[in-house]
Amino acid sequence: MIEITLSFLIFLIAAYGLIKDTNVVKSIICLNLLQTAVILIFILLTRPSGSSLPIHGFSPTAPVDPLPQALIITAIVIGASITALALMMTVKIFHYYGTLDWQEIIEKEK
Amino acid sequence: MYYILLSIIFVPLILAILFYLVNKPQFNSMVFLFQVLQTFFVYVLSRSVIAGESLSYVIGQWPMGIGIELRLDWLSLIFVGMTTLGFWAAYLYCWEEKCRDAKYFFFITFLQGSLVALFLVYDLFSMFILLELVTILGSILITYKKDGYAVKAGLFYLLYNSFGMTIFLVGVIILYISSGSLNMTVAGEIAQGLSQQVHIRFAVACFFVAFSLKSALVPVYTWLPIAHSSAPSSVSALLSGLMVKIGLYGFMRLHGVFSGPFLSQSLMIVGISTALLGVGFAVLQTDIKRILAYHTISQVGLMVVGISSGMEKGMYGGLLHMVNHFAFKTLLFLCAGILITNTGERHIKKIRGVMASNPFLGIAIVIGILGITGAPFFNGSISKYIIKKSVEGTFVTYGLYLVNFGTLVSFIKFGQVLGGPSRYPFSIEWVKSLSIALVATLVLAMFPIGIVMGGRILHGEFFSYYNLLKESGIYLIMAIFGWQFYHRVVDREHPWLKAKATKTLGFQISNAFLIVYFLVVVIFTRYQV
Repeated sequence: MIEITLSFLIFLIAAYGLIKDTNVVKSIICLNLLQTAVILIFILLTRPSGSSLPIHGFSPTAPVDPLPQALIITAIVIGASITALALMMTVKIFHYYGTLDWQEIIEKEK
Repeated sequence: MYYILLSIIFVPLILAILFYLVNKPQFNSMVFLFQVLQTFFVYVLSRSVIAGESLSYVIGQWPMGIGIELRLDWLSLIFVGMTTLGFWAAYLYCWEEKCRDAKYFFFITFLQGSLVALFLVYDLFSMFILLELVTILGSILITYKKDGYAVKAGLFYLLYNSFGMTIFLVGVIILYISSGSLNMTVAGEIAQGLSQQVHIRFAVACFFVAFSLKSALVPVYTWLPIAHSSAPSSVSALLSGLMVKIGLYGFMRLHGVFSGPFLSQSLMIVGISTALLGVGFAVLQTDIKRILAYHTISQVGLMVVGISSGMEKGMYGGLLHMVNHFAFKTLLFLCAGILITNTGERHIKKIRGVMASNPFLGIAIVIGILGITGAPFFNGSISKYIIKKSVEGTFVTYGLYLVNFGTLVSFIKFGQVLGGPSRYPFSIEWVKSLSIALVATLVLAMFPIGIVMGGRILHGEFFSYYNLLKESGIYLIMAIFGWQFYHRVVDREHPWLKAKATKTLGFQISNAFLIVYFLVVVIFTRYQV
């Protein structure tokens, strides 16, 4: 239970960062944190304590459901690709505007 | 049939990779050959759906509920058909500029494959992956070979949408944990039995918020005007014509699955306020593409009003309006692209004389305007009429009249590009004019199609000369008042209103909107009976 509470805390911190912070890179980091928190909660909820690896012929106790693990890998890959693309765009924004602050970017557009 | 169903997904994806690997300008013309093939496949599939048999296959012959299911029924057929037509228009339109650019074709054909896949999968996690894929490809296409403002718009679009998709993932997880399956039918059946429980309702709230974000409903619409107005025109047409409807597809798809709490009066309130706010902003804009982008928001609001009534009539009206909106909004965005490239201006008051120098383009714009304002004998009128019928007797009807009035006012503003002396040449290459002619024909053809289908759904009460006369009268009165209103009020450009309308909301405040909206929806679904 404590792990789930902590993951939820990470989720809240990330959401707070997305609302509060005006730096583009920090927004990307917060989005990553948000996804990580969701993934953590998913893993924790689908892994009952005392279960073993989902490998055939290797389970002394009941194996965990292998599907969530496969889904999580996909979700992580998607998160990584979004981060890569977002960082690439951030570099372009910095070259053009000379700043990484959302507010300053809006002011410079005028 | 199974292989045809697979090939309409995988042929575009494989072709995209071939574009990237071959990387020769001569190879790019393969895209038209492939489109002909794709259209033929969609036609073959549509024959079997029209015959009344919806196709459903599980990839890899797994039992139902374990593998990824592909399903082609009426709803997905309409969306797949729209995708095919929309990409015809986009390929023809961008051919002249991009025909030597293999990377552009890589991205755009990949987008086509993922959109078709998104409309065919019947599995929540695959839906999540494809939604993210479409978001990534969309943001790449928005920023393609551009600088500054477009890159900022693309980044905003990417980050904001992936925030929304994270909420969608939460919903998928909760549904998986409580039902043990990702297949929509299996999970939906189990969730139906548990629909009173807190966590199922929370999952429904998550889906609701994610689809609201995708279809740009009221508090979470801020990404749309920026993204749609800064993309290249062929991509804007795709974004506004097709990709905005992904959220509505989700609403309709999941309404079929969780028929209880998903669509209700609350969605109707969100829809009508979206329609009103969108049209309010649109009237005050001066950037030609932003006018169209805000109109997308307002028209999506109308569709949501239609589908949220939950009745067959409203559903049908919403769906018909979706196809109509796809036709005329694609047409208008393509025409706006030609106006911008020929004049180098985006301000609506600086572009004049389209009719005098290029009557073909002028007529296309007139068709688009008459379609979107719902003029009699044009496609928008039928779907708007059916939506109005489906909410008859409630306060929403007055809102719909107001939305129509606002649409007319802002398209009187837009229509002024037609008049005046010809200062610019407005030349079009023949491939582009082919694309515009294709979409204009679709706009015109949707009127008889809508009449025939509308007669079937509404059982004859729909098409009568009395109704036609009444609606034409209302339209004319509104047009006269709109003309007056435009010249007396809107044209003066009150400075305070103008400052409010052109202000762009920042990323932080949009996130705050999203979180507040999420909390409100969660609380609302929790206590809804």
